[in-house]
Amino acid sequence: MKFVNVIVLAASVAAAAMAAPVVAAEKAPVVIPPPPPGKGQIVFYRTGTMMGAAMGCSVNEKGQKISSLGSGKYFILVTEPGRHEYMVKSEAKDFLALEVEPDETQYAMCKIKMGMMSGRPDLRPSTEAEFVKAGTNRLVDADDMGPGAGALRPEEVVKALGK
Amino acid sequence: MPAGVTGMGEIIHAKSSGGSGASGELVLTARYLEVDGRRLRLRSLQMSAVGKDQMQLALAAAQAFGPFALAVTGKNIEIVKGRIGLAKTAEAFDLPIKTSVASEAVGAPR
Repeated sequence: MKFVNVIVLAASVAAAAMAAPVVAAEKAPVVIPPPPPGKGQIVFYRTGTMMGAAMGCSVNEKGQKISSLGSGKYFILVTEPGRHEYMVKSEAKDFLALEVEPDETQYAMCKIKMGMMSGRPDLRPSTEAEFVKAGTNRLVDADDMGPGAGALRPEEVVKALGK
Repeated sequence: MPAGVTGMGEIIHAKSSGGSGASGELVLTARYLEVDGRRLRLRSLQMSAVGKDQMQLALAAAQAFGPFALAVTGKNIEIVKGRIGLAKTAEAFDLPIKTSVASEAVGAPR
């Protein structure tokens, strides 16, 4: 019996050891590169809650998809300064207008709220502090971006960070 | 710059609270201040705000009341008078120094 306990304990320790680096990697702070000179950028993100986890939050501008946001993911949109209006849509639409300033980074969060037949995305203004607190640290896959330009692909983020 | 100078801002985005616990939203920007008959352009005002969302409450209500939980609304946001917002100047701007202030500064101990 004691032998079984030792095996269970050893397996638990091994599992914890294997899990630890993963947890540590997930907690690594996300570094957002500054926008190119004269441009502005918006970090769109989504928290990793269970509510509507299976749904994507597709961000559009002028009828063209910029990128989808899965649960717990973010993307960086580099764009021209000025007023921009973004739309998310499922069984209902939601809009968010932002004033993009040159050389500044803004934040916007998508949440999935309850709907009649399926979840409804809700796009709202946010802050860097909220983004950090949310712990969102996975960049949207390149496959989920576009065709609208502006959403930085993973390799472009690495390049912008100078790595 | 004298206290009480006036200026102009703009509401970029406003949305009232809605069903399913969605909160109200407000995004403002500062355009300029009127100083000595001239306009000092401003940029990068940090004053977007959202009200408290009630999405978790709506979700909990759905367990008990089904689709009637869609009627649960979030809270609106109110930016009260006197709230401080940070903005940047968008250009270099020379301000005339008042004579009385200048003479006081000369006589002041260092």
